[in-house]
Amino acid sequence: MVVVCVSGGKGGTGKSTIACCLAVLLSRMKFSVLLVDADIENPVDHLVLGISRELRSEISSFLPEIDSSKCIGCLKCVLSCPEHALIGLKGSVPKLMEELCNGCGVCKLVCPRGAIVEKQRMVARVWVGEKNGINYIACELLPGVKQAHAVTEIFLKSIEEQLRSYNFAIIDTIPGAGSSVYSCIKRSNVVIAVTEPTPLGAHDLDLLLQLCERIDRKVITVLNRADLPGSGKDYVLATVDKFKHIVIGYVEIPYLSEVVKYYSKSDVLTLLEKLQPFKQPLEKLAELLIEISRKV
Amino acid sequence: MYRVAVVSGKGGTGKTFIASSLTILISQGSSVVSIDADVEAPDLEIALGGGDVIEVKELYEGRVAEVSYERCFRCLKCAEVCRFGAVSVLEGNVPVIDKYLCEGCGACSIVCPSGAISYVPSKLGTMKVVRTKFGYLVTASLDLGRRGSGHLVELEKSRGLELAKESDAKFIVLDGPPGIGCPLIATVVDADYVVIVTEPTPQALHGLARVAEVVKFFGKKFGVVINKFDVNEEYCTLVEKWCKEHGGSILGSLPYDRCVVEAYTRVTPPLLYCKERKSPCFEAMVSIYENLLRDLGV
Amino acid sequence: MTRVAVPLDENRGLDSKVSSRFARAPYFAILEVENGNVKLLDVVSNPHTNLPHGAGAAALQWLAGYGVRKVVTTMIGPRASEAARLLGIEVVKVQVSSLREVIELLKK
Repeated sequence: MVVVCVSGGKGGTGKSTIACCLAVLLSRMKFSVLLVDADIENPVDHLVLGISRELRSEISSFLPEIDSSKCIGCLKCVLSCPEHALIGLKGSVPKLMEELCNGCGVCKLVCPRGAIVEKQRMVARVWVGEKNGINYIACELLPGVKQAHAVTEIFLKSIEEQLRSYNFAIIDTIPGAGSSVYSCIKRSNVVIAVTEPTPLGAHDLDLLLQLCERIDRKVITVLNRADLPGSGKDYVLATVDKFKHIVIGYVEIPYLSEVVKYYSKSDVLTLLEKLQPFKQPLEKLAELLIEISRKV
Repeated sequence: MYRVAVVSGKGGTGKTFIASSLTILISQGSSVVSIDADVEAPDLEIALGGGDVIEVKELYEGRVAEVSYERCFRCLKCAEVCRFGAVSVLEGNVPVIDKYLCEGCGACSIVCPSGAISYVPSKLGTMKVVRTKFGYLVTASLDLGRRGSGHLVELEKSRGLELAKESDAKFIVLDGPPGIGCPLIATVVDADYVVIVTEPTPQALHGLARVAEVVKFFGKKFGVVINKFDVNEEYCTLVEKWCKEHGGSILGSLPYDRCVVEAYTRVTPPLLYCKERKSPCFEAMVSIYENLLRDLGV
Repeated sequence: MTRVAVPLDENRGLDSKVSSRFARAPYFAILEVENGNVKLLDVVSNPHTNLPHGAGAAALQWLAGYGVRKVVTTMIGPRASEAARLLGIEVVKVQVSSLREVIELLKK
């Protein structure tokens, strides 16, 4: 089993397309594949592959509720709340400003009277689906939820065993190099960093590779739309060279105007059928992953 | 003063191009301050062609927990009580706190019977002020793997507001993060107008709908820009229909043009490069700017 | 007798400028009003100016600790006004520039 994380720093470089295509190619080679859409803020892999997904479960976080029959108005919860989400006057029952609460539960721990009751607040939904032998699972944050903090971590922790029960688990991450990406990377054997030949792409790739370096993960860099004119590619190559001790593979995908068209119609399968120059580098990528799986 | 936030649910739709272009267009008539609120992948500085860095500040906000193993009884109460999955347990019941996941809330230290948990300050990120050709830019980058990007955006906004007062700016332009999480909320919560950038693809429309829900949740006025509209003109009608149904105005559309990418590879502000190359993107961007002013009633 | 808080930009006694911010104002004046008499009890510096979020709630909670039941300010954010409502603290919005003007208003 290999857990692969498809990330890249910058948004819109082609992470989802590549993650979905890899899932298709590997499953055609008769490997068992789990596609994990961990782009919790905008999960679209089901749209890319045309999977009809169904709701599996919900993720909730803690929200305090104060039992006014037990509360003595000591304000211990108010004074210890790290987010200043509880306010109140001495001798009266504190009030909660829900949108400030991060669900840490400190108030419940410090209350001397056990007056804080645990209430749950829904923060995300988990979806599942299946298509052509690819198993799919995704986590989607509810709009307006500020407490996104731990959602990726809680989601991935809940499917840890599942991740290990497939030949390949492919995790599609959110853009950036924050803690959600970290949660994905730390569970994977190898990271595929997808970027584009611009200084922006190179800059954001640099941040992601720094994070991979810190937690000692090997990386395959994919330069998407590699043949766009200009000197942008040099920036990316310089970044790859800077991190050559962790970059174990490098694949280029050419710019093909047809890709955008098929992508806009959510037709990745036809894309793989019809466009050899697009399919070939992805096959190479799949081969690299199979090689890694032999060593793991 | 008007605060305009440029956002999109999906990444890579062209937010930075639009935000940098609006900044440039505004700067021709009045003073403007720009803020890069995409702190996990800040690129606005590159898109504005750089400038003189006049201020750099390392920000230490908050704290993370640390275990002293001489004192620790291995009771694992800390792991039990942490709601952020930040305490993992190694062989021999050794609790380890993951500094990337710790919120610094203090729950573990409250339950620890041996007082083995203390706190160290944690670095949130670095904030910079750059004097560009188009006014002050406040940009920041989140320390790698950290959470708290919403906090960082709040700090950028306060600095941006000070600079705006100082330079008598008429506009603040915020280049938002992708997604709908904390930093996005911080970006739109006190904006006067939100520009949502989308593309004619189901993926981007999905993103548009999700981000619009947040924008409407805070009661903000919004307008939509369809980038790369010519990639799938059929789908544009769907996007337009969606806007009509959900109360967003259409600010305009931009054609797909390699000029924009080329400009980035040349480290030239893309709007200026488009103008030089007589790209239709330039005229389209000017019209988007005019429609924005119309919507704001300026 | 009512304790009243006023956000200030500076600490220069009665001539201090009233702040155009509330939760992140650098100082607060604490006044005591009784039968048309107004006494300036103290000017305290606000510990919450750099709080990345929740400054409104934190400032109101902190002022409540000084026994404040009313705030007089030129503007107040939505969070802070929600916190004031929950704490039962009255909010009075006025157009003034100095603390002296606020005191004149309170005498009436």
